[in-house]
Amino acid sequence: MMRSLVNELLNDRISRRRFLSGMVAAGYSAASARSALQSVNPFTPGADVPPSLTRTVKGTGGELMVDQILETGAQYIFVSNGSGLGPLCDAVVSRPRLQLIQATHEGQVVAVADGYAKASGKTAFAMFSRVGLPHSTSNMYNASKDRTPLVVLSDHAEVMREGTDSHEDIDDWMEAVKQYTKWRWVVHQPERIPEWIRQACKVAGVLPCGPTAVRIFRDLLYRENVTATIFSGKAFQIPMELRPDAKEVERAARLLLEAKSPLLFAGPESSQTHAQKPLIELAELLGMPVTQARSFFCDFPNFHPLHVGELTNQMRYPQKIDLLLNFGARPATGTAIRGARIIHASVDPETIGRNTPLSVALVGDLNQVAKALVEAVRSMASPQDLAQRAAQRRAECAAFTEKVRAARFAAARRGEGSPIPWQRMMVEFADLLDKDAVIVEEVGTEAKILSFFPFAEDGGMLKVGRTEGRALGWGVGASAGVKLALPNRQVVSFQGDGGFLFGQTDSLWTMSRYDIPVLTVILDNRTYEETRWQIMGQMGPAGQNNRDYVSYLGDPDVSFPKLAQAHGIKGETVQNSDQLRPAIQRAIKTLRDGRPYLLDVRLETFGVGAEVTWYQKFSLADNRERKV
Amino acid sequence: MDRVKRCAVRLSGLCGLFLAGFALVAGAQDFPEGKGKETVESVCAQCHGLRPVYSSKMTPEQWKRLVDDMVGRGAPLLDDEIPVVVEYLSKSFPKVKSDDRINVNKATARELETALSLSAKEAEGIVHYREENGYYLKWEDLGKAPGLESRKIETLKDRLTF
Ligand code: HEC
Ligand SMILES: Cc1ncc(C[n+]2csc(CCOP(=O)(O)OP(=O)(O)O)c2C)c(N)n1
Repeated sequence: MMRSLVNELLNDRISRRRFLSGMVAAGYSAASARSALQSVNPFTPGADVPPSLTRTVKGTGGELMVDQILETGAQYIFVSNGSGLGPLCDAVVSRPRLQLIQATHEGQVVAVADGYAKASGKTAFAMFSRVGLPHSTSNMYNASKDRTPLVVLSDHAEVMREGTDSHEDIDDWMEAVKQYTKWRWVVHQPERIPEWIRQACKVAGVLPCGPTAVRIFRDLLYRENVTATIFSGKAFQIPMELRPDAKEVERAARLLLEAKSPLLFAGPESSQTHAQKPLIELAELLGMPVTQARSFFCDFPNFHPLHVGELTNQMRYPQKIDLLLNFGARPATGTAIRGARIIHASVDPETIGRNTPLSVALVGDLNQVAKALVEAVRSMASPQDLAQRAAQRRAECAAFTEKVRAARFAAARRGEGSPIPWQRMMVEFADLLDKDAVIVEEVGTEAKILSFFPFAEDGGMLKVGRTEGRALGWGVGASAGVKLALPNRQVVSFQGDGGFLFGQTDSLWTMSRYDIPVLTVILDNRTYEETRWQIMGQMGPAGQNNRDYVSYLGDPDVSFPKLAQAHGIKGETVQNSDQLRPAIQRAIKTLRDGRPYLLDVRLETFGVGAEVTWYQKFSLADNRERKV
Repeated sequence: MDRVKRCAVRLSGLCGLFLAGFALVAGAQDFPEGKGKETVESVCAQCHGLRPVYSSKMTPEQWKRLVDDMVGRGAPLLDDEIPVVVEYLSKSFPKVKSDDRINVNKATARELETALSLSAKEAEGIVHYREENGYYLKWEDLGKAPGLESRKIETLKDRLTF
């Protein structure tokens, strides 16, 4: 809603007054609306734009495109091959500041860009062939679910060929990506190329963020002597530090103080707005237990004494919840707790209260919201009063979480042998990885990662993934992007053997080509375990008859280290728990030396269908009538 | 399966979202008495309801591994509760070894091979014939499977179910 209003205002389609009333109607407070207007104001048509914010440039369409991308502060553009990249290549010859990072196909281009954007917090640019857009959509979908800021560019048919149903063309390319993009545009005028790139970048990067797509006619990219205005990066950074409505903050603070058993439910928006510090302060102030929503980040330090794990419908601690503070999670993931009041905070009024009744809605930047709540709580109760309220809850909660964590680590260390129990592998990694390592993960049960690595914004590890869209085929490319964003932190990516084979082994090529030292760890249980449990666990005809139609992965017996080797990357298979430590140490050394590495760890699987190697066998060769 | 039909059916709220396959929750009264029952009922139902619990039949060693796995996935069990829970599950939901019989229409080649001490080839023959021609109805039918001597089948006949 807000983004469309800002759009309309910037494009002179509505007045400032309409903008203000529209914002209020959408659920923003009058103060937030005014502050948004103020930040957009200088750039509305007709407003005085300081000359320092624009400059006039003459060049090819491609040069204008690159100049505008560089103005945003971008260092990389993520690409795959296509003749439509010609104008980009020509422009970069005289603009070597822009580094191309290539992947072998569009799906992985978007994955790399997505990982880069998530880890850097910056908007990432990608460009590929005009016919590559459909291929890119699985990871566009993932990016849109996670609200990742991406600008996806491609060329487009020539001006006089568009709409003729000729080769490489369909009538409406954008229709296909409509669901996955916040905004999309086909550029028809060469002198407006920078303007639309500016707009794409701004829309992608304004909270709630998301992918945008721009297609530019190929002949316009080649057009020479185009004169256009390039906008300084500052000219489209919209400060989104919107403050929440003071009255609503007060109401929320009062409910938090009155609650006997409040629970904080932290979601990804709090990480996107760097709200972790005030959020910890708030939880500690109230002695409020914390659960983690499904999220591609870890939004509250998961080894904090108040962190009780996942929100389930029958928590062991706290047993009764009378108030849920949903802080930046989408509502569907577990916010309908019977009998509990719900406070929901987000910058996006569309998200707040979707499918759940609300006691208080807090619209604003979550860093601001958290700070305001801390302040309000402090102003309503004396320090002694607060300490007294919080002390018991905090002590109880800390005792519980500490014991549970100790039991979990002890159980994990007990696991041994061959194939290896996955949790034993995790503790070995937890022992050996850097304290501020970055974990990129695309494994089925998120808790496998959250249980064993301590994540925290301030000096702890960082978790990127799994995507909320959950479309497999993201993590390998994403881990390369994450390492590009955070070159000075150790990056380790965890992938299931099934997930790894979802068309993303190709990103080993990118890692190898650019010396991107990422450790890829395959949780190799020779099965798509999650789906096997779902399908056969139903105990329908397939389950009852031990028929594993689609989840067995042992035939062919793919050698992942050989796959890595084919890309010039070293790797090894780990069969036994005793071999874990030295193998991880070898991997870490290789990363230090500047090269990627792959560990194929053979893990045990059990439960329904574990011993079944049956699948519906078929040999076409045996069915031929002619041996050709 | 009776047990499944008898039990109350409700969506396991939040986690039903990601564990849709395990949305059935057993009525608590279905669980056998014993030390650890309460812990299992309260802790193991949190994420997926109790259906995967009571529909699994495992050896003590397997239950131990499974409980350690669930603890890794975030099941909030304390150190001293783990062995109690493992013992309760092993007793309540044991791998049925009541007889050593094996269902020739359901077993995999590998299972037939170990359970009946057959060669891999003989076991595969049984499975192959079944896949081509449908289920065996009586032990004599196994004579049609390629590579299996009828005398050998006769010695095994008491250990087969259909
Ligand atoms: C923190 C959440 C959580 C708790 C608590 C939990 N589990 Fe699980 N359990 C899972 C997940 C996740 C799966 C995997 C389901 C999937 O991927 O579809 C699973 C699967 C299972 C399966 C299925 C394996 C198969 O063969 O299909 C069994 C059995 C099981 N759990 C038993 C238990 C027992 C016993 C307990 C109590 C000690 C327990 N669970 C507690 C999360 C949990
Ligand atoms: C693009 C896409 N297709 C299908 C799925 C469905 N899916 C969910 S889990 C899973 C299996 C993953 O297997 P693996 O990575 O080996 O992990 P495991 O389940 O063995 O832990 C699949 C295919 C998906 N998530 N994404």
